[in-house]
Amino acid sequence: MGEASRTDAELVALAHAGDVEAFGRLVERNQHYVYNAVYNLVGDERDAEDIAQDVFVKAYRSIGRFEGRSKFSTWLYGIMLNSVRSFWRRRTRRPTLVQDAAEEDESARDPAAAGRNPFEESVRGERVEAVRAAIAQLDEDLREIVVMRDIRGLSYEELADVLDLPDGTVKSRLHRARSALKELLEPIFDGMELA
Amino acid sequence: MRKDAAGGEPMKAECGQHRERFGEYLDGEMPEADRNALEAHVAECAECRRELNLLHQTIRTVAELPKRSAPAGFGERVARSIAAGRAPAEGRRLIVLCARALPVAAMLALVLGLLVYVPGRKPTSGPAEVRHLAMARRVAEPEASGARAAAGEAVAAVPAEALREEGIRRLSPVAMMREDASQLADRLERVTGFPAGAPHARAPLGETGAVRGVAGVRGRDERELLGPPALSWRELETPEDESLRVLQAGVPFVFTQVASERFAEPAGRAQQVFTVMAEEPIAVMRRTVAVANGIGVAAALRVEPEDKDDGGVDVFLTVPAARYDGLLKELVKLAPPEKQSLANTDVGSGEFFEAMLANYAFYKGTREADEKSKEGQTVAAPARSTSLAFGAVRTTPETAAPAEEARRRAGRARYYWAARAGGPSNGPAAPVSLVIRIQKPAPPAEARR
Repeated sequence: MGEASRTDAELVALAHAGDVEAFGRLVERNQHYVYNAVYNLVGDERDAEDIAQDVFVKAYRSIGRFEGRSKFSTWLYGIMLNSVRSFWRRRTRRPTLVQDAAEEDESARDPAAAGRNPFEESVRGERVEAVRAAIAQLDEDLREIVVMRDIRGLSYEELADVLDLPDGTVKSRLHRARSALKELLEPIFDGMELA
Repeated sequence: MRKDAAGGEPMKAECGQHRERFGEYLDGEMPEADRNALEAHVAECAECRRELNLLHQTIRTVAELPKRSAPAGFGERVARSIAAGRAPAEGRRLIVLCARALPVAAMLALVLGLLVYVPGRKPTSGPAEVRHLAMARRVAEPEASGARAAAGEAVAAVPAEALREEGIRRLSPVAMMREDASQLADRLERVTGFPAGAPHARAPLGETGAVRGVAGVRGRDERELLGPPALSWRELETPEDESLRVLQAGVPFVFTQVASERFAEPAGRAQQVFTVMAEEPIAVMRRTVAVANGIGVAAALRVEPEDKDDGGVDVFLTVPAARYDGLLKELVKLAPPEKQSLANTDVGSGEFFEAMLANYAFYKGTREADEKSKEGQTVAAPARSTSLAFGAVRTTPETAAPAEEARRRAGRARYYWAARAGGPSNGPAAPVSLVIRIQKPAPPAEARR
């Protein structure tokens, strides 16, 4: 039986037994999904590649922990979210070396001043970038759930599993995320037939 | 009653209830009975219909974003990463892990708390109790050395003249470390008036009984600087010996660790963070400690365990006002101007070091979370307990209008600029609580591959 026709669960069992090629096959199957999700979460190609790579290395090292209760991809998403969260934490704690702000310049420390209106970019004809920028403006927990649901297409049950949240919280958080996104995107829907 | 967002009819309570579940409806996750009720409402309510369409449009727009594929060669790079961490035998595996860890082993000083140099005092012995973040009380208070401190405070006029003779030399960290310790001590003596050859009269550390050990630089006046007998890392029976060995390599450092309750920081201090980007943080740290010791100031170090690219070392100093000038004139030589910055902070009297340490506790939490996440566990991010708001001080070459630049340079950063120019600043009026953060710059993109 060729590896191409094996299920993920079979490949995982082989990889666990030391079959590196089987794991390679799992990487091949899942790399684009994982990379795309990470890219939409962190918004930078280089960071996305580093993180996605890290996800598979971690998956390989902990493959013995995969119990087969969920899909392999769902388990992988769990690792992915941990890696992305680590990245966010590292990024926030890296101190800025030289701040080009004037001394005691309050605006430099004003988070509101840092946020850009994504629609300035859409005006320049970069609609896709505007949508990505809107996603990037969401709080991290909201960004996670919107990417996992609306870009990755996970079911509510899978979201609860991957995000380790009760069902009710999945629904309420998704509602908050989409409402926030709707507010941000509404200006580019202007002129469209909505009702 | 709340108006609808679109400014139309007042929104009914019923509308709100339905709208909260529009997502479930569009996702096909709603039980049939609820779905029927929702559809009946939307059929009658124009505003809800508009909202539903807007949400649908939002979800579709996000879902239709172009997909990004993993770049070419991605799988190969994963395979290489895996191969680098995997070896046939467990022993070999350990060696590989150690070898990989070694360059950052210094940063990974897991329980390296503070390494403290105490001049002229034999360290008190104590149990090998080493807290993750040990703290030293009252580091190098100026009043500690009595008459000598008074003499030290009186030499504020010396630095400028001596420095003008000396000029500001920029050396790489490696070149700095090759510089003979006696040259440094001589220069510092000229700059600060603090006699390099004289024994330091008294060490405030240890008097509380909480200090378990000392660390410092052995240079020209090792006897005076350290006091007999010198400790060495070999006396430490901690799992962190490897880290100490790495720190010690090349320069005769002497380390041990301290444990104390907290920093007590008198009111009225200026609080500053001086950041230096350096490829070799440990070399710069040694230099910094040597400079601090050279002006009779004890240095408390915290070696930050870090992964990847943002590791570093923090040097905690309490700098007597009269010696601040001399210290700063050495600090500005640690790195090119674009790789250094100075920030004034205002955390609150007596809480600056504490706040810095609380921040480290936060970092430690995130590291532990990282470790757990490597094992595939889902980990919540630790809460940040303290937020340090730094007032930025511009230290890059000027780009602003000359008048603006002049205003900045006359502001809180004036000592820094005076030190950069080699001229007199006469230093601040009160002692300065200073954290020197030495950090590796982020690696270029290629190196991260």
